[in-house]
Amino acid sequence: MSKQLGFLFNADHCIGCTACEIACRNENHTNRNVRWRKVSKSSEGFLSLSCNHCNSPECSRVCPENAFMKRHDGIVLIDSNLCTGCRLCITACPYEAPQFDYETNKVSKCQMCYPRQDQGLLPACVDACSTEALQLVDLENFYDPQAVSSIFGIPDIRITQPSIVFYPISEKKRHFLVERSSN
Amino acid sequence: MNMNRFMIEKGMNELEERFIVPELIHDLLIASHEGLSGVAMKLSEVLSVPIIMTDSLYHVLASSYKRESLEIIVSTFFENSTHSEFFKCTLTIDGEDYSAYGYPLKLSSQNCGYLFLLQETEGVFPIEDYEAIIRYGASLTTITMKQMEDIKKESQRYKDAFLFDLLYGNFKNNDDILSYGAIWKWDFNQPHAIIVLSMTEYNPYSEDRQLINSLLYITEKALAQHGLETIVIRKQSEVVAILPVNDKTTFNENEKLSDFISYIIKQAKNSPIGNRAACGVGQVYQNPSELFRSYQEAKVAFEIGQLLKIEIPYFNDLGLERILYKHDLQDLKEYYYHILGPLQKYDETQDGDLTFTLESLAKHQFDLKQTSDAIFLHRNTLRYRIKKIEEILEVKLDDINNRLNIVAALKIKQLHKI
Repeated sequence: MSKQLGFLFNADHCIGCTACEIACRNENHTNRNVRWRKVSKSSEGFLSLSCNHCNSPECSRVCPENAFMKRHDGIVLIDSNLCTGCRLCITACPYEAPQFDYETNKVSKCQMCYPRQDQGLLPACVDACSTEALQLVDLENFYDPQAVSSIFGIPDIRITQPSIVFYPISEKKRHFLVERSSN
Repeated sequence: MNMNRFMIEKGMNELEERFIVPELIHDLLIASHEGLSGVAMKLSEVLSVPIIMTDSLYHVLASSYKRESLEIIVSTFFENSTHSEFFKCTLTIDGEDYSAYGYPLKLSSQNCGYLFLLQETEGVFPIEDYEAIIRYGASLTTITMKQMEDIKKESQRYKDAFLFDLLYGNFKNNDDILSYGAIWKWDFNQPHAIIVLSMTEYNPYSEDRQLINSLLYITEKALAQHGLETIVIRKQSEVVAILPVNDKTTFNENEKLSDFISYIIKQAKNSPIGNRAACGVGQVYQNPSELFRSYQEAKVAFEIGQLLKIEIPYFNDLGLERILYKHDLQDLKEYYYHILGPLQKYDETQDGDLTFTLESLAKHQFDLKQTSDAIFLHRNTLRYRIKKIEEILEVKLDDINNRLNIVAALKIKQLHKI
């Protein structure tokens, strides 16, 4: 495999506008209770998470129907025709990425907008992010010493090896307006 | 007129001489069509000395000995000051020592192996006289090795695509796997298990990338030495081996498999990888479309093995850890502090060591004698400490339920480094 597509999330840039979440819903027409992408807020800042298209997808390992597959560009997909709605993948995923749809009685998840990508477009969430807090990168060829593999609010990444990297929140500095003297 | 004619003839002769290719060179080039052994045989014939070609780890690739397998040990190096490229050494073949000259094989300034010339008889070997032809033979060997590598890489591209789909469960139909496997003569009708080998603290932006190639090479070599036809690929930071489990391989016995993996890890220790080689073993699956589970299990076993310091972790042998590793961390922390929190607090405030004592006791199945021997503590002191632990935790340690709770809490501590 020459590619492993993944997300690059800059926690400093995210303002919690949920544009990514709304764009995801618009693009994929998911039901009201199904959130493929979720923006959450903690005391340290905002976090936008979806399926991380892990290198070692636990959802895939536990699925009794073998409904998951991984494309050669690293995107993990679920075949809804094979899914029986047993929800084992939901319990196995530490990021709560697979979502149970009570209307279809099946599990669905982020597919990194692969139909858009196949047309040369960016995933809807990345496209909608006005502050460029969310970006798409090929992790096989991405290297930035400032990027880290985990930040606040991310569950243990050791087993699953998620395809996401982060720029952590940098220390905030206060700037005061200083009145200039007329002299 | 005659003078002119003489000059022209002389010039022609010089020109012809300049473009003469010695028959020897031509013969060696023709011999290289038969691969490394062809070059070795021809070079040996020309120099009248036995020739051995090895890789950079001194594994024999070809030799002028008409034998399928040959093992050598290279020892006692003597640098030759007059010829910087050559070095003198002793080769041990079948328990017998031979003096030899070694010549490094280099590809783009990287060492890719050695050419050894054996001195079977006593006396001075005129290495200086043969330097040019040996250098040519070495270049030819390097080119042949590069060609073999390129062919291997090309066929590997198609294999990699198939194995990627196999390892991630993209094949939903067994027949597809069987028919694709047949192209490379892999029989997926028999059960298989997957081993993942990698390095601890792997850094993709360092020389570790190169070291994984060495690990792949060592694994392939070990399989060949054990006479096993197994699928091995490199996947990013891992070497993945898909092992057939049958009467011939006897990998259904964990002992045999452990011996084989230990051999690879031992070989890796003697290479620049050192003590960083580690592994994980998945379960055996009869159905090839379920092999992806074995791969994922091997990776889980690898990670848990690192945390619990198990040298060869089998997913099959993991007990409670299989549930604990993926459970909600906050929930686990709460459980841990509920069970062992008071003891940890006591140790912190009183500068005690009771948590360590409890860990040792649990490690030795709550056996007083074994624990006191292991931690060099008098049995009565240990009894006193156990009593103290029981007081602090307000539980009785001879109750099986309390023991289970304590062992689970200690495993959580190990797994999540609380």
